[in-house]
Amino acid sequence: MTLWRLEFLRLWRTQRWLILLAVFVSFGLLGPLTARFLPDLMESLGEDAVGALPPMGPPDGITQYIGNAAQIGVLAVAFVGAAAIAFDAKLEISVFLRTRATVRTIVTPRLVATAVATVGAFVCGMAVAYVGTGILLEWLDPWAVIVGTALFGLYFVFAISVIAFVSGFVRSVPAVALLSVGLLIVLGLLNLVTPLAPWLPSALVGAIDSLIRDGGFTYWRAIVVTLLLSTGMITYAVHRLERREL
Amino acid sequence: MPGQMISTNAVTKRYGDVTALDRIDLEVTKGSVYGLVGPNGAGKTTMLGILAGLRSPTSGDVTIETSSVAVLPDTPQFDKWLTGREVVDLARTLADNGTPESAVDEMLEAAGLAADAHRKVKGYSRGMLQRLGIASVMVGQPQLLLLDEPAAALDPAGRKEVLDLVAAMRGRSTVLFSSHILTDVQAVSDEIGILRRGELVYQGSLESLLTRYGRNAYVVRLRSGSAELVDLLLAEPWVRSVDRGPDEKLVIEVTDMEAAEGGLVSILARGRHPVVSISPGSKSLEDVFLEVTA
Repeated sequence: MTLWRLEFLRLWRTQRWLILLAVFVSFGLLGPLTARFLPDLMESLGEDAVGALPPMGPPDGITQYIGNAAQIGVLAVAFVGAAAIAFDAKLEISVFLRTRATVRTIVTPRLVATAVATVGAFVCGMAVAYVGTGILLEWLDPWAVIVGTALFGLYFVFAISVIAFVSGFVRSVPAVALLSVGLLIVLGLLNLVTPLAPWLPSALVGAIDSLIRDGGFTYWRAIVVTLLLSTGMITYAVHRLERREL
Repeated sequence: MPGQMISTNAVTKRYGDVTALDRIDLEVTKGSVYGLVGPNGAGKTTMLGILAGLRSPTSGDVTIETSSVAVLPDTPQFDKWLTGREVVDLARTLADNGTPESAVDEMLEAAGLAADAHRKVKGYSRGMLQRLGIASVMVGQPQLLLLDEPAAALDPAGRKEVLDLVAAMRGRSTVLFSSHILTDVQAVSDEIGILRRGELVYQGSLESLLTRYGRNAYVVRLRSGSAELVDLLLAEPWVRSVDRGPDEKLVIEVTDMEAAEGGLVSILARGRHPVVSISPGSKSLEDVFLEVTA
């Protein structure tokens, strides 16, 4: 039994992988269905309701999915990630691990397993949304979807590094999850400062929406900042965890 | 002559204004079983935490002659979705010293958990978790075991089994365990340390402790006349105090055991007191503990 297998078993036996998959796949189904049938639904409610709804096109199947993934999806990832990454939450389990392995050795499989499960579930949801959009509305440029998915996946890696960062300051799982979501929301609000927006990790969230609408690729700055911030936060978290007294 | 496995020099730990440990000089001999005793809040867990590297001393030095250390907290817990065998196997892997997988089953057997090895930990009782903790600290054959109240959660039979396991490690590993169950300490310890409000008030062998604090009294039972004897005894220079108990029993605390051995018999003979029994009034470890930590 290795720490890597331990993380695989954590995802499998606690069925957290299933929670992530269920969240993303259900939104993947809902996105194209909404884009396809919401206008009809609104029409049945009367002309006023139709007027309140912006016109919907094929890209909205993906846009709807992205919107839900960025909100409920991130919340689910925060709780699933915090439950794995905040290993000091249970003192006795932490003593068992910390007296046998370094913090870096303990944290690395937890981060990787959470990231793989999250990005894997997100990709599955995206595949469902893409196919659903193709069947119900119109087939979109697959390369735009693949690149956009990779960029959103990178944002999830960033979100997981935020969870690690927060777990360096607080121990309880709910506190780590909620503070991480709070921090991600605050970082997202910085998007309102126009000169900053292209540099922020949250720029990666909307990338796919722009790419499938033939927008240009303008995300290098956000990618670099996201990678630097993620690395920095994980490094700092390990540094703090190593010095935390139990 | 074996050297020291643990030596600390003036280890002090403060939490704000509270001094949890005050200039502790602990000396634990290689291969010995060392019992760290003290009332609640004396600093036992803090001391173990520092030795385990989980806490840093505010000042002072800690020297541990090995990196092969295993720690058992007082209420061991594990991920509930693991089986007992997986927990011990994880401990074996993390020990990273080539311990064969067969050692996992041997340790589970020794801890009395062979039949429950493939059950999930969430179904384990507190006593079973304690045994699982013992198995997981022993599996890598660490050179130093730090056990916090290892038998506290167990029934008498379970306690004996765990103490036997601890005793069996003598010579192969050094064991330092904390306990407030004095009979446990008495049963397996070669050396003990007594903590009181963060201070190490005694350190040494149990025999020395009992000699120093415990064998300074005689218990005399008479058929009658104990009241008259009290005044006679108190007149002797080697008598510190006399307590008259029920059933004509006298507990005579003495300052000089040698003088008492001769003098006591002579006084009893002179007064023609009908003696039922005379015995050294060796105090129990509990009495000594209460006296030392008072």
